[in-house]
Amino acid sequence: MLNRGAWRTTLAGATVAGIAAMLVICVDAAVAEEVQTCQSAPGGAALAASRARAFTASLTPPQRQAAIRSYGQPDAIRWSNLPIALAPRIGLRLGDLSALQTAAAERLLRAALSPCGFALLAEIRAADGVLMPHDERNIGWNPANYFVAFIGAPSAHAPWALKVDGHHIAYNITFNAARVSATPLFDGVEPVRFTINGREHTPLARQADAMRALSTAVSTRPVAHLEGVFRDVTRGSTPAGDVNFPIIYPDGTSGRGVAYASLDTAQQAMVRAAMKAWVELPNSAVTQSLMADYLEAPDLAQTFVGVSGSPDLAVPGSYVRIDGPRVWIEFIVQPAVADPTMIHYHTIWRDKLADYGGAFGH
Amino acid sequence: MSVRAAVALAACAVLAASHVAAHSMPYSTVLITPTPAGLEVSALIPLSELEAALNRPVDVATERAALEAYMRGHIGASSLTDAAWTVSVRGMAREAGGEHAILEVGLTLTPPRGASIRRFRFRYDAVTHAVASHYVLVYLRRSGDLLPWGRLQSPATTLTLDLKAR
Repeated sequence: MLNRGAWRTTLAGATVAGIAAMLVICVDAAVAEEVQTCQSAPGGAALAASRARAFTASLTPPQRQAAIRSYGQPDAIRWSNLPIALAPRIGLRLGDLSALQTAAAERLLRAALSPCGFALLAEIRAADGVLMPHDERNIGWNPANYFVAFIGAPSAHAPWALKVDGHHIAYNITFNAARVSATPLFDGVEPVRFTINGREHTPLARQADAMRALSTAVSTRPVAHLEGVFRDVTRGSTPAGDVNFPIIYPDGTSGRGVAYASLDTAQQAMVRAAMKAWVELPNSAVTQSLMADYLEAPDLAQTFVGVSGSPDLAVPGSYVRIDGPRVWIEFIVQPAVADPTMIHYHTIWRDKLADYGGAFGH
Repeated sequence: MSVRAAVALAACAVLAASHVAAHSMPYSTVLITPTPAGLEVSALIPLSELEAALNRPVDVATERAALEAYMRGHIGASSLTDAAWTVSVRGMAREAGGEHAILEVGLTLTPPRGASIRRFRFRYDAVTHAVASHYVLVYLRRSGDLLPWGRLQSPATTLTLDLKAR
């Protein structure tokens, strides 16, 4: 049985396998320290395609066959937030790549993601390394158990998607499709705070802080409070993948929370800041395009903020949701799995029109 | 899908739901089998989600009558003319243990005399009436096949079926 908080501050007691994984963690943790801004270097989709082709060129034929899947909904929706023993993944396990392939994969990820999105992946993987010594059920907590796959062959012109998928993270970034798209994007973390080599990590602090400020600000408005109990995000995936896609969302103007238009100027700024905490995870060109869409006046006029539970997001069941004509972001506080006396986060960002590039399900 | 596969899927649904319960997978599974007399329904509900809906611990062994009443209140069917079907609980069991427990409930839904058993509206909101993040995957068993019928999550509570069309 896990001692309360045993994994919060150290990696003492790690197994040999865990120590091997720590090598990965240390590299990733060093990466995280570089992040000062979420602004990507120029390049956008063309650079991502070029680097994806460079990565696939570094693979063996069997690896390439496993990594590049047919472009279509069946493989596009194959992702989950669960550990891999509970939800098998497609593609290549990052922990199985050679050093050369790992470097090529990193260059691809740096092109497809913002520095914040890249660092978040590294830190969520590092959190799994903290859980790894406590994986008594062998469900796959391990920073090596994250997968990369391509839905369609990477191309400068034809539609394709990059999928990076493992426990607590799913990036689905589609290029050259009908709509600019970086969703569905799941991120979560356990533990929410940990220390490696004397450095404290709080992978989702940017998102949690933004949602905490927003929740605290709007919770004084009774209309902001959503009906029912929340124990997870409501529009997440399943162990079999995103089989509920296309997703059905609440409609109308009641039961969705407080309207953006009725908030004061400072509160409206909090809504936009909270949106950005997710939308800035992909490459900045994607961020700018989607934020421009989400912040159009007619869209904001139909955007709502709903809350449940404790506004300080300190206890399980605390929940915040941004629900617009396109943007859908959920943040839920759950009990931690390794130590139920602690908490962990699940979040999801969807785009009601542009999930998977808007190519499927409509 | 064969009957054997359907049974295996149902068993997997129980096992999967129990195994991921520690990750708060928020779903129930409902298997519906049409019979000449109506519908036989098997509902598989993560006990932790039911406890969240009721906001209290649940002891299946000592609360059978109350749980049967709860289930009868949160499941139903009606003909498209709105004639309500009767609901009876065939059995109830607690599967698996500890934090991974599943409540399995068997029910029979019977239409009023003369009502069509092929066209009806199915209603189900156990747990979802209170837990916004919970959803229900509904499967229909026909001719040995297990077909995904639909997904229910608040505020949706009904699925309409025309068996002739399927």
